Amino acid sequence: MTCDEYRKLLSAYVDGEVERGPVDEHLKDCPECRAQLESLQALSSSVKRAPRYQTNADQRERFLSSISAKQTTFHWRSFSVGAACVALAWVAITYFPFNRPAFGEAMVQEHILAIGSNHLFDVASSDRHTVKPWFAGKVSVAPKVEDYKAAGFELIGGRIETLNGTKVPVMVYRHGAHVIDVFAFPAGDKQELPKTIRGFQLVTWQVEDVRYVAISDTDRAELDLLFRLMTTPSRVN
Amino acid sequence: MADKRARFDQQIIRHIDAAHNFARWILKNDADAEDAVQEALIDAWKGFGWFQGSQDKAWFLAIVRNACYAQLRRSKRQFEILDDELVDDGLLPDALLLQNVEQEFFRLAIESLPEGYREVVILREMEDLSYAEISRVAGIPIGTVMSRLARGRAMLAKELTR
Repeated sequence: MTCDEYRKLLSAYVDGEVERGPVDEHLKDCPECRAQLESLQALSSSVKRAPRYQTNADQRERFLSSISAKQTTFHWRSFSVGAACVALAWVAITYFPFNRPAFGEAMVQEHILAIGSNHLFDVASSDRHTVKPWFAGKVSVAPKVEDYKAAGFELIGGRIETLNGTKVPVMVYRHGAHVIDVFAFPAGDKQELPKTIRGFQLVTWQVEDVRYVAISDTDRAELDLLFRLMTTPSRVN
Repeated sequence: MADKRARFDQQIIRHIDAAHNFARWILKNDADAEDAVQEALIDAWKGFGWFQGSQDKAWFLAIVRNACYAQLRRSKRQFEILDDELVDDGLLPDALLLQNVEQEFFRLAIESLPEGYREVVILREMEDLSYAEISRVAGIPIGTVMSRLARGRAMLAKELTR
């Protein structure tokens, strides 16, 4: 094979998609082709470094609602008229947000999306003095924001999710390999959420007039530990 | 139903970021890219029952690609006819020249590639798909993936050092 013929293969060689042996042999003896290979590698790593277009929170919300809309239509059709009336009355007389059956589901979806899209937080910080003021003015509750790094629950940041049209603060903790989202809402309704949704654990509690929901794929015992930490009054405020 | 949704979340929703990045590079426009992803998600949801469960990223990106091309057709754009022969595209510029290109310049250079080349470059370099997966997404034989990548890279290198 001539240099020209090897050169045609170099692009696939960079990608590991051709048999390496013969090309390696040739590269040993051919500085020109080696230079070409270097150019290709430089180009390839430049493209890899080029900025990805990120999906922001609003866009994710819209993407997700397009699916939920499809699902909802199906659900309603499968409901009997009577059940639908009862559900409507229920929604009408009870208060945002725990009355919605899909509410836990919506939080779990946001949790999965945040992890899947690697968009864990809008503000990254282990400092509660950074995260807490960042929430202020953006949401209607002032949740307790603490770092429990010593106990193995490191505060890594915060983000804001829109659930049922309301902006909700989320504190993001890392515990070993797991990410834990803690959502905070104005307390209103004591209705219980399911303990697990599709394998994700949910723990909920209320402190003063704020209701918290922690969601993670970690063990229930671990989430309970975080719950105990968060419900213990802090020494310094 | 809930089970379908759970599987959909696990296998498809996690690729939303990749889908959006891909669509944005193909369509070069925020609003169009968002529409294409919306459309693709709905198509994917409808077709999910037939999904065999392997290569979920490639499966979804193929749907995203369809939505993107539908957009392009709606805007009545002409597609460039590509020569898919694996040919020698001449010598590439020196590696040093290709290393530290400014990001904005880089974006313009990638966007200047015809779709057929741009998509394989993005799928390979940014989404890290294998040739077999790219072949599935773009609906072209693996040999064509190989030649389009080689050509696309040569064009990109030239554009960057023009």
